Amino acid sequence: MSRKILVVEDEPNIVDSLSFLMKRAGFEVLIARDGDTAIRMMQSRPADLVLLDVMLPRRDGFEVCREIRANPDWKSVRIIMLTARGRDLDRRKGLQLGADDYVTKPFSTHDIIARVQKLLGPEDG
Amino acid sequence: MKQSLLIGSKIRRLRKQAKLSQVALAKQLEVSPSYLNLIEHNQRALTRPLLLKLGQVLQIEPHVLSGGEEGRLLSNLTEIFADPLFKGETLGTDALTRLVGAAPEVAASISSLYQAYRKARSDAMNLSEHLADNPFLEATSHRLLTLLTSIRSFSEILRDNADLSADRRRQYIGTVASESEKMTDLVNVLFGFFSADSIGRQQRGESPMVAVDEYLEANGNYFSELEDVAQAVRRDLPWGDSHLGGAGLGSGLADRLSKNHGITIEILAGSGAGPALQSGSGADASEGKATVIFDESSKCLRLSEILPQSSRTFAIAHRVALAAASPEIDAMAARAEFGSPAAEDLLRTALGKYLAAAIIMPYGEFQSAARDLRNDIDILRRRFAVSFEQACHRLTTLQRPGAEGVPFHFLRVDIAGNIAKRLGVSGLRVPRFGGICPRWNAHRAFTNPGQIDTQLARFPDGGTFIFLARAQSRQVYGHRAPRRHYAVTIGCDASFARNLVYADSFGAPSENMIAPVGLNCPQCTRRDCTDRAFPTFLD
Repeated sequence: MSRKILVVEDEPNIVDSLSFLMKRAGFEVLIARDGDTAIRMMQSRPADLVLLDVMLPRRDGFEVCREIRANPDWKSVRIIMLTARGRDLDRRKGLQLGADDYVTKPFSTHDIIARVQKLLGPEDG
Repeated sequence: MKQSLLIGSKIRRLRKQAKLSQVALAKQLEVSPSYLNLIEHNQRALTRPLLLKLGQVLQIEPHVLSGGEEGRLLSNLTEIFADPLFKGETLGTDALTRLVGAAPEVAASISSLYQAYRKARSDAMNLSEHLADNPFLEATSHRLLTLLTSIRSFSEILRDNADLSADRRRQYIGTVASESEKMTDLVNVLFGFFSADSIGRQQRGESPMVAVDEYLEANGNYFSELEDVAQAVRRDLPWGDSHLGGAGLGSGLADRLSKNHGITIEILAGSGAGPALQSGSGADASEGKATVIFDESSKCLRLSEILPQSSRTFAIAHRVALAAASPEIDAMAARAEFGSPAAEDLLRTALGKYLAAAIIMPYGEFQSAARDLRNDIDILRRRFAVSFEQACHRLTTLQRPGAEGVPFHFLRVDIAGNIAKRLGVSGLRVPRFGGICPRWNAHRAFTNPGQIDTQLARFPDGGTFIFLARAQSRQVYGHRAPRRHYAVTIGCDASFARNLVYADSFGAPSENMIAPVGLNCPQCTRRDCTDRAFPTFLD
């Protein structure tokens, strides 16, 4: 069973490119366009890794990160924050809230795939 | 070598465009299909005779096949992928050559995107440096990064996934094209952000003050209908329209308020009462207390005793102005079509004060006095019993066609260098945001409060202005009250020097008497200026 990645991003083109990249890398992709939906989706189908944008409608990426980390059921879920270049404070805040890693926009596609693969490790443990 | 590598892919592309099979084209070129196949895969060099023949068969100029254009693209891409932006992704010449050969339009898109990105990046850096908290810029840079992210992702996907279906490839190229178009628009918006006109337009919606400033400037800060009302008010006074300033004028106007409008006046002990009222009191408010209060229900104008005589007279004249000309003022504010009630209110206040000043300093008398006295403000203010600031302000309004005074600008600058008020028709473009050049005498005036400082200032574009500045303190009540310090400055083009008593000291100025100034650091090209505090935007 392929591992699931939840892409939480409100910009349709970035959603498209991320889901293409993740599918190509062999992952199953789930999509949430705002923070509330992200939490609801985690409740119904927990993902192995969340690619989490900071600026989201309704509940922002930090709140989503905080909520995921507050739930012991999601302890093993990996979180990569997507932060804007030059906003170091966002990066530090994300890591402080329990994100595992971050990538800065505009990100390199190779880089983001490598980070996802590194965090999830080889497929069969 | 690089060029021949590119030619193979190009021939293949052109052949497909011409809907020819390898066999068919080989036949027309009189070579074997396998030889053409080798050429198309860059395994054989293209000889000159074959190049000419290819040109004939495919009906294209031979130079199109020479690979010059692709060569340029290739060297562009090589430079682009050397940017630290692509750090860690070693993209060799071979990979880039294949990209240019297989999809030159994608390579060209990447190249123009990169140029746009570079421009946007340097703009974004400049802007964030100097206008870090500007909400427009914050939103724009976020939008730019978003566009860049999708452009970069799709460019890389196109580059790395040769097996994409034609449909998907078309879709992704379409996304890159449309996102780059949006980015171009956004970059243009960013460029436009720096033009003063555009800043004015952008701010019009947000800042009622800017909208009103622009309206006053567009009208040369002269309003004949209000001057007519002022003349009528003066004519109605017991002594006719002959001038009599100060307390005399104040009591004449107070009589008029009482007789014509049933409004009484009270002088309040203390620094005023109640919160500052919006109309006619804001500028005179001290620590949140209004110094001028008009009580609509009791028709009573209450003036704080802290107001000096010139301000009391002005407050009374302002109330007369509103009582006498509210419909005219309302109509003028409506005609301005601001689409913003706040801006309309502000304009009503400004026009009311304009009329008050016109009542106290009637146009004809003030303009001829200013002319005869060569704008000696000290004499003018005594003759009309007004403050220095009131006299300066009135000087900026002397633009009646056929009886014009010197076209002055007017600024009120606080001790931190912020411009609190700007008006004027001198032709000087006063910065809307941030401070002003540290070399302007508005700053120097604080070292000698109460004295008029004169300066001959030359801008980088050669424009030369005479600046007069005088620092003063806002009237306060009592020893413990904090004082507000500010400089009132007026100025005009140096060509009006003979109309100014202050310019006599300049005589025939030598170059070293002229201060080299600018608007402010970001908008100034004097790179070697010893007073420079910030880098210029104008590089």
